[in-house]
Amino acid sequence: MVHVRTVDGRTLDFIVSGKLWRNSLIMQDRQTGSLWSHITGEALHGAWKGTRLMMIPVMQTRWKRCVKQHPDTKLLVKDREITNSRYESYFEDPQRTGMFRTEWLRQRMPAKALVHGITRGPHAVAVADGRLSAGGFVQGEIGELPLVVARVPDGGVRAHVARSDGVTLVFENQESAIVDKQTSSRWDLARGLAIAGPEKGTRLDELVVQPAFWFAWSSFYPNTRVIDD
Amino acid sequence: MSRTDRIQLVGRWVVGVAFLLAGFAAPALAQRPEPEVFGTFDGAPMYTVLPAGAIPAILEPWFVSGDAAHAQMRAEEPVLGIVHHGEAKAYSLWQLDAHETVNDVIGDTPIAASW
Repeated sequence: MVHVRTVDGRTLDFIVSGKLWRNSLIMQDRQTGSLWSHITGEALHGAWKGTRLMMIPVMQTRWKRCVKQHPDTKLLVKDREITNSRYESYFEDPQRTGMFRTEWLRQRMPAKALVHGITRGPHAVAVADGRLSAGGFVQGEIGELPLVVARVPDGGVRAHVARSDGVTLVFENQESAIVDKQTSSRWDLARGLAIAGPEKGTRLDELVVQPAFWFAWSSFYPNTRVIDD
Repeated sequence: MSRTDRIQLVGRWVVGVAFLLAGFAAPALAQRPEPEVFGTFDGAPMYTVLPAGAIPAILEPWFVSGDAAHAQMRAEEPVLGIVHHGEAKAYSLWQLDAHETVNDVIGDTPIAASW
């Protein structure tokens, strides 16, 4: 998750609170000691209670793909050699769903299925990772808004509102390009940008995608819709 | 103190520290007895598992790029990547396991990346 850590013109520094809520990280700001959920970005306790941090898009990918697409990537320096994940067994064991028992939607998908989650107001949508092949995309709705969710070349997943000038856009693959049926414009779904055709230059509104395990996502958003067909 | 006593003492200490480290390093792994409930939010309990700051967030991140970055990474190493206002940054997820939060600035925007 990536949040903007400026609220009301004040920049906050976050430490790890040591607390867990719904099996997920609670961050604590050093300035007021308020407790923030890193999934929702909302302060649950303290002076900032009720405030929500803005989220920016993030991708979960592999180093080689990231640096191939963005050769000037700045890498956070390691102070020692790290050759594996200390939680590898946790990530790979389908039975382990965090430290505490939580309610989640068991029937819909396996606990450790990776999903790409999107929220907007009271609405939540999850796209199963397996549904997004290289260069693939899916469409659906979040609330009243049409949505397009795409796997992009750096391995990340980006979501945009599939609507331009009030017209809902339906995308299709045409000779390895992504084209909308309404105007036959070509689109770069990594940027939500029309790159050729009548819509050229049009930029779609972006929605932030959060990668999560299904059990965690559905415990935070039990009303979530799922795009997995 | 005899040599044997010293060895036993050191042995006990090593075992003790190993247990402490095991408990500390893998807080999310074990199904342990429920720790202290700090409060209930939205119907769900919030637990205090470790003292604040016990897992050290990164507050002053440093970066490398190009060959220096490649030298630190494996090709298939999972990363959290951000591309924002023309700047691309990556954090190794193996590294974030030990820190969970990075306080950074990207394209003039102060951000917190968490894992």
